[in-house]
Amino acid sequence: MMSRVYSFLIIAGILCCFINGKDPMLLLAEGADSSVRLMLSLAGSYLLWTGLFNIAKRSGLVEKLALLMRRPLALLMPSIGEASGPVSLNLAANFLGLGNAATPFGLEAMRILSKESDGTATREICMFLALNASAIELLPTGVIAVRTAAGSADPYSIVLPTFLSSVVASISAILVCKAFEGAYQ
Amino acid sequence: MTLIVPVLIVFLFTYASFRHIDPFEVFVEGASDAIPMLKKLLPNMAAILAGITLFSGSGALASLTHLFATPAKAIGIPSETVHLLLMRPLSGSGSLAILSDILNRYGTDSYIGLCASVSVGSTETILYTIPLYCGTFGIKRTRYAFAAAIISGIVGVISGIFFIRLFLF
Repeated sequence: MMSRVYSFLIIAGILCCFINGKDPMLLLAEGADSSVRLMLSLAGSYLLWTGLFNIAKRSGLVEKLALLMRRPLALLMPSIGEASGPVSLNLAANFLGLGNAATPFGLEAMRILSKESDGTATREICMFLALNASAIELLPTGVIAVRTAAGSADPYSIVLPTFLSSVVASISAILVCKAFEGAYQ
Repeated sequence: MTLIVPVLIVFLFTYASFRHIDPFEVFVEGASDAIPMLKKLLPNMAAILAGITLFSGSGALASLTHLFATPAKAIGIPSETVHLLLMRPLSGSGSLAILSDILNRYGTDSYIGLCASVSVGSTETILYTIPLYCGTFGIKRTRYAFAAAIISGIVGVISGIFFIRLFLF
């Protein structure tokens, strides 16, 4: 699936460039270039949060959180094991709108979850990715900023419907994953 | 709200000192572990962002927008937001730019403007995050991860429109 999605983006992208008279090499170079800039802007917060995470880990707090969250998370991801610590931190960071902190926790969660995998996404990995995709967020800061800049009378009016719809999306992510789990067994 | 994280960090350092942990040394040790991860992340990011920038800049989205406009309208999604919904899984900054354009064109607090705002807030850049997470850890067969993410995204958009009608219109 991964390689097919990727090949589709590249082949369809280049063909559409020919049709629309655009330069595909320029766009490819621009994308690769933006990865370096994104990496540089991400690296600092990444170092910060992995450093703080290690303090929490060594002092035993991550283990405590993992024990606390293992039962509720095991309903969704039965063999979550020690990944329940970083998974809960990732969901909490997303919830608080700390996107920069969510990524290192998400990668740590994926590192632990992928140990059980032979290159195939396990049921735990699929559930984690699907939950991440619906991203329950208390305050969608980016959208509020754009609404304020566009001169909205009430930029915050969308907070409640956004929150509720992301809850509905998360519930549907769980149900869809459970349905697929059954179908794939 | 903005105080939550600083307070948690104060708690973290206080707790660590009770457990006789040297926070400086342990912070540096943790951050050092991040470097090999960053090294693995960059090539994945380069491959993914090259593909995404190519696809979203090629005009492919404009063609797909025409294709999806009618079916979207049939399930209650305003056709003016289809371009945004197609960009949303690809790029966070790209979709905020389109959102800004929609808000300026149709009004921030119009039905279309509200639908566009909620759609961006309740969905994620799945065609970036899933390949990034999976590529970095050698997950080649993603099975139903994309399908589940796409379905829950569509459910999020439709339920967002429902809540806008319920609360704001």
